[in-house]
Amino acid sequence: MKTVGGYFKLSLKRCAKVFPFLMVVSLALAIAISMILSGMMKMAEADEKNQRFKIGLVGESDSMYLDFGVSALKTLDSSRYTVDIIEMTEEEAQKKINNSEISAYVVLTDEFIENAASGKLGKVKYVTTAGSVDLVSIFKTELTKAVSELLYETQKGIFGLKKALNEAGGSDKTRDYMTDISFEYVAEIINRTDFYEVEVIGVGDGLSFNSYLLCGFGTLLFLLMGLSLVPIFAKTDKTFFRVLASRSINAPSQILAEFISYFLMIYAVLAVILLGLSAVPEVSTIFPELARFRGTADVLLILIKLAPFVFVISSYQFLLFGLTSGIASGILMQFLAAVFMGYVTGCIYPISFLPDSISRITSFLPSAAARSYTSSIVSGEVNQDSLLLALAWGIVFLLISIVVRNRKILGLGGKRR
Amino acid sequence: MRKISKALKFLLLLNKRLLKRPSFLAVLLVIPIISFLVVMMAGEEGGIVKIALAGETKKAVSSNAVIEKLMSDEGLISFEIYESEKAAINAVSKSKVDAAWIFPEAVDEAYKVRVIEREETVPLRLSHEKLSAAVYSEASKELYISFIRGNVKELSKMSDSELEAFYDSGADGDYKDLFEFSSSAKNEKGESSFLKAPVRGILAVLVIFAGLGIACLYMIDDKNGLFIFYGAGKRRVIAIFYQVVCMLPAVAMALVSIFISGLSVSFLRELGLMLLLLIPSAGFCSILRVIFKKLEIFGAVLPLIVIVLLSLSPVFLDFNGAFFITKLLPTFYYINAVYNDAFILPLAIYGVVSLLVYAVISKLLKRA
Repeated sequence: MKTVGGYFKLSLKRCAKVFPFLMVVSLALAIAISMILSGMMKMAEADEKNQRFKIGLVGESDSMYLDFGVSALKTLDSSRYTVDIIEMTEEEAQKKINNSEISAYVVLTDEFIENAASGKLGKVKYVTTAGSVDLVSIFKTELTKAVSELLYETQKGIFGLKKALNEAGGSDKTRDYMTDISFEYVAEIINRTDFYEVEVIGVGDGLSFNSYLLCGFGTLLFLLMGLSLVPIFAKTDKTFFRVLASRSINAPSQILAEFISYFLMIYAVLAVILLGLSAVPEVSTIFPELARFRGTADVLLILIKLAPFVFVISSYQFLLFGLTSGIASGILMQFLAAVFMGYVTGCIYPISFLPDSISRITSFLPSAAARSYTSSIVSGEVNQDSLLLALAWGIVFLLISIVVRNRKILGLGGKRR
Repeated sequence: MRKISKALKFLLLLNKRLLKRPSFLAVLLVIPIISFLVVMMAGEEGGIVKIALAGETKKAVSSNAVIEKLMSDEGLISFEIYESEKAAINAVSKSKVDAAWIFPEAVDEAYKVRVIEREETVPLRLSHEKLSAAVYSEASKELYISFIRGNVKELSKMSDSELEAFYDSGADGDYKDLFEFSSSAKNEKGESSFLKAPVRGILAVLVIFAGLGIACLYMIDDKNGLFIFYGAGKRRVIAIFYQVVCMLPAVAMALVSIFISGLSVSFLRELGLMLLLLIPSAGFCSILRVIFKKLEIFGAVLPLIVIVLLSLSPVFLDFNGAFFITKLLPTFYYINAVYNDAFILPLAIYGVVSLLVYAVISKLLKRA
C-alpha cells in the first residue's frame, strides 16, 4: 500500500468487513427503537380503549353523591378517554403507586364531603411519586386546577342560591332548589365538552407527532451506532499512523481515506433501513408523510437527500473515535455525546417542550441540525439553514480530526496505550 | 496483610491508569458541567402545549374575560394572542403552535369555542380541560342566573347584580387550595420539572456505562494475560473488585453532578444510594461481560443496552411497570429508591443477587 488510493482501498475493505456486524446491530437497535416509538405513540393517542393513566380513588364515605359522581366520571365524562378512576383502599393505593400500577391517587375524606355539602371547600389529598414522568403526573397541576375551578364555581352557584334565599326571608323549597340546581350543574360539568368544537385540520406544512418522533429517534439511533464501533475504531496505537506518514500518506490523506470509507458504511446502513421501511405497508399509515415515498426511485431520492445527515453524524462519531485515548473513555464519550445532545436537541422529548430561549441556542448543535434537516426532508420542504449547518459542522469535525491525527503522528501530547 | 496491601496497590494502579488519560479525565470533568447546564436550562420551564388564542372579532379578544384568565395563568400550557382567526389557524398549520382556540364574542347559550388542532393527542385532550374550566367559570354564573330567573319566584325581585354578589360569596375558601399534593414516599423533595427529572436517570445510566467500559478494559487485560496466575475463583473476585474500583471516578462525578445541579435530596441519602448502585451495576456489567465473551460482540450490544436502560427505567417515560424486564434493571430500583424507601432494600438485594448470578453464570460458562 504505497499510495493514498491504496490506503483508501484498505480502509474500505476494513469497513466492508465491519458492515455485516454493524447491520445486525442497527437492525436490533431499529427494532428496539420502534418498540419504544410504538409505546410513545400509543401514549399520545387519545382513545377510550387505550387509557394509559390510572388514578386511584380512596374514600370510605357512604355518600350516594360520591358514588353517583364516580359512576358519572367513569361512564359519562370525557375524561374516561384518558384517565381510568379505580376505587381502592389507601393501603392498596400505596402499594399500587409504589409498583407504578397507578399514576396517582386521590383521598376524599368524610370531612371533605361534609364540608362540600355545606358550601365549604376542604382539602383533597393528591398523591403521586416524586419521580413520576408520565403525562398525568406532569400535567397534575393543570388538571387539578381545572377540577378545582369546576368544583369551586359549582359551590358558588349552589350556595349562592342558598344565601340569596336566606336573605330573601328563606323558603320551604330551598333544599329542592339546591337539589335541582345541583343536577343542572352536574349536567353542565358532564357536558362541558359542548363549550368547544374540535376541528382537526391535519398536519399541513409541519410533521405529524409520529413522524417527528421517527426523525428524532432515527437521529438518536445513528448517534448511538458509534457506541458499538468503539472497540473497532477507537484505536490508540499511533505506530501505524506514523508508518503511513513516512510513506507520504499524511494526516489529511489518512483522515479522508478513513472517513470516506466510514461514511459509505454508515450510508449503506441507512440505505438498508430505508429500503426495509419502504417494504412495510403500515409505515405510510403510521407516518402519513412517508406515504408519498412509494417506489424504489422515491427511496433512492430520499437516500440521496439524506447524505448531509449521514455526513454530519459520521464525521461527529469519527472525531470522537479520534479524540479517545482508550475504550473506557471512548464508550463514555459516545454515550454522553449521543444521549445528552439528543436530549437537548429534541431527539427524545420534542423540541417544542424546551423553553424557546434554550431551543434557539441548542438548535445550532450538530444533532439538532441533523434532526431538523431530516424532518424537513420527510415533510417535503428542505430546510436550507439546517442543511448548511449540518455541512458546516461536518467540515469542522473533519478539520479537527486532521489536527488530532497530526498531533498523534508527530507525538505531541498523549501517551501510547 | 501483605496480600491485601498488594491487592489494593494493584487496584489503585488500575485507577491511575485510567486517570492518566486526558480524554478520560476530560469526559469525567464534562459530566457535571453538562448536567449543570441541562438543569439550568430546565429551570426556565418550557410549555408542553402551545395554544394560539384569537377571537371571531377583535372585540372578542380584547374584552373576553376567559381569554384574560387563560393569559394570566402560568403552567405547562402556554398561550399567545393572535390578531385574527386566520393568523391563528395559519400558525397551527405551520406548526408554530399545537392548537388554536377561537372565541366568540359573548358567553351565551350558543357559546362554542372553535378548537383547531393538527392532530388529536393526549396532551391536547388534557388541554381541553383547561379550556372547559376557564369557560365554565363564566357559564356557571350564567346558569345560576338563568336557573333563578326560570325557577325561583322568591328571588324575582332581586336584581342580577345582587344575585351575582351572592354567587361570588357562595363558596368559602380558595379553589387554588383545594388540592394538597404529597408524595407516596417519605422523602417529599423531588424533581417537579419534567425537564430536570431525566438528568438523574441519565447519570445513573452513565454509571452503568462506565462499568461497561471498564468491563471492556477487563476483557482486554484478560486477553493480554494479566490474570493468568490466578485460579478461576480468585479471578471472579478480582473481576468484581476491578469493576467496582475502576467505576469509582465515574460514580464520584455522577454524585458531584447531582449535588451541583441542585438535584440532590440529602447528602447521606445520595451518597448511600450511589454506593448501593455501584454494586448491582458491577454485577450487571460482569454478567453481560461473561455472556458476551468477545469484545466486538460486547461492543455491539452497548447501544441496545442504552436503549433498554433509558426507555424501560423511569428516566424519560414511565410505562408503569408494564414490562417485566424493567425489574431486572438496577436503574429502576435506584431512581425509585431516591424518593421511596421501599426500594432501598430491593436495590441492596439486587446487588447481592447480581453478584451471585455472576458467580453462577461464570462457573457454568467456565469464564471469569
